Amino acid sequence: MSLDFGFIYTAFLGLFSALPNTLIITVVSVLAGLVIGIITALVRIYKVPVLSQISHGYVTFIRGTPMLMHLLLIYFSLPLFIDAGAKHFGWSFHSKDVPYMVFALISFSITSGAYMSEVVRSGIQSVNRGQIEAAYAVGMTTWQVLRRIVFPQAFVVSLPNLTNSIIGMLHGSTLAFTVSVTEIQAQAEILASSNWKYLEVYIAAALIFWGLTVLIERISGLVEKKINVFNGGRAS
Amino acid sequence: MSREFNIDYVFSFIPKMLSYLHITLFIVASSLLLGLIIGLLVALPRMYNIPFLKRVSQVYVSFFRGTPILIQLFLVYYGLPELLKLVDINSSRWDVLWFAVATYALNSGAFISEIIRSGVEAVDRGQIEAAQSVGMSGYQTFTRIILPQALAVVVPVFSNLVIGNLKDTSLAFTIGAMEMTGKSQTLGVATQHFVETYIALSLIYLVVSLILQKLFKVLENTLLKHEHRDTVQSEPKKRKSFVVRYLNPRLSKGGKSI
Repeated sequence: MSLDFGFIYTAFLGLFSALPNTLIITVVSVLAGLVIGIITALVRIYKVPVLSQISHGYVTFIRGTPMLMHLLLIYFSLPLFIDAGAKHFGWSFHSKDVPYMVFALISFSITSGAYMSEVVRSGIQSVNRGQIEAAYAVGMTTWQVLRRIVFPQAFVVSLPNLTNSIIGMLHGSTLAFTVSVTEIQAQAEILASSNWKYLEVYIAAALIFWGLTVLIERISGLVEKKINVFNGGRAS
Repeated sequence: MSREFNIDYVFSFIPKMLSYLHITLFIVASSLLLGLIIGLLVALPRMYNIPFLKRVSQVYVSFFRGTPILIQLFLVYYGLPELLKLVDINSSRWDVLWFAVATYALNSGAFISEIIRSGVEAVDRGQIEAAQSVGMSGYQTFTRIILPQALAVVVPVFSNLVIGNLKDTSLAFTIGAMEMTGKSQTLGVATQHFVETYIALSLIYLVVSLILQKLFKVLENTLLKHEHRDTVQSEPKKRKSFVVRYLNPRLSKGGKSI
């Protein structure tokens, strides 16, 4: 087997230029997903009439279809809407002015939102009903109950799931290459095809992702330890 | 970028893609079967604490859970032929489908080994001791005591894995495998109706994953039938091990819901 170990190192350095894009995609989609997730989860928990059915449909659809489909659907259909809008309202910008990165960010946020909604929902539902009643009994408003009682406890319970979702989005960011965003996967393809050293490049890419994943897991482990100090050492 | 939206294309594309559904399902099924074998082999050294092999399996699991499946596809696609060359096998004329199956099998092997471990760990140690004290052999203890209970615990997690696998097969087109997504690419390029193509494809994935979810739900209910009866009546809910909760969000719901 002819494996050029020197080139793995070269590729490793070459791939770092694409790391920011990967991280931007991950961070933005996780944060936006968290916001979408909290809203859809609350809508479903409080059974808001029409909205809860819509969120249920949204979560079912997103979780039942591959992330690649969401990306391709957004990438091909959003320009149609933008151009139709531009024609109708006489906007000055067209779909070609939108950077590819924006499509990737929108689509991944939508994907992440559905998964986050389940994370948030299972977290919130793990909070004891009696505590919520107690909080209301001492005169807290719903917002105060959520912020002071429900969210802190829900966070502790959902941390492992949250970590899984973050890692899932990190790995999912590799799909952005299909809409020409130069993240690590796309950079790997560029490096590989210009040097004809495919295996070496993908080994380097795998090492970067592996490192990032282990790092996220470590951080989450530390946070969990820290939180559980206040929890009398219990797991949740 | 693409032509005017026309819903008729969605309906005409669905049957065309459905004719490739069996390839997608073949990838899922064969990778799960191979993954079960790999998963079992990988889980054993860790459960029985075998010195060196335990490390190897830890690294294997960490690697396959820590890297994107897309990268794994390319690693196998370019790496496996090199490895096979070492043992004088020429894989240059193999169908790319086999590389996809190999990747998904290696990937699910890592997840399945964790599922097996969590399932076995969820069984109360005392029950195993009790089984041995009444004279059961290791094999009997496993098949009669551990396996039935472990299965009930892991079915929901396994269901997630199968559906995850189904969705992951959509990436096989990147190495040129002709399954549903690969077909959708050619349809999209040929007709320039990309939006309709991907709507049709999403609908197929959605229906297939909903069917799978329903099937696993039925299976889970069957396996848990006896469990519900006793837990409701007497014992309070047992705490599940951390690994089980970590793998399965649905088990992490303690307390009462809002």
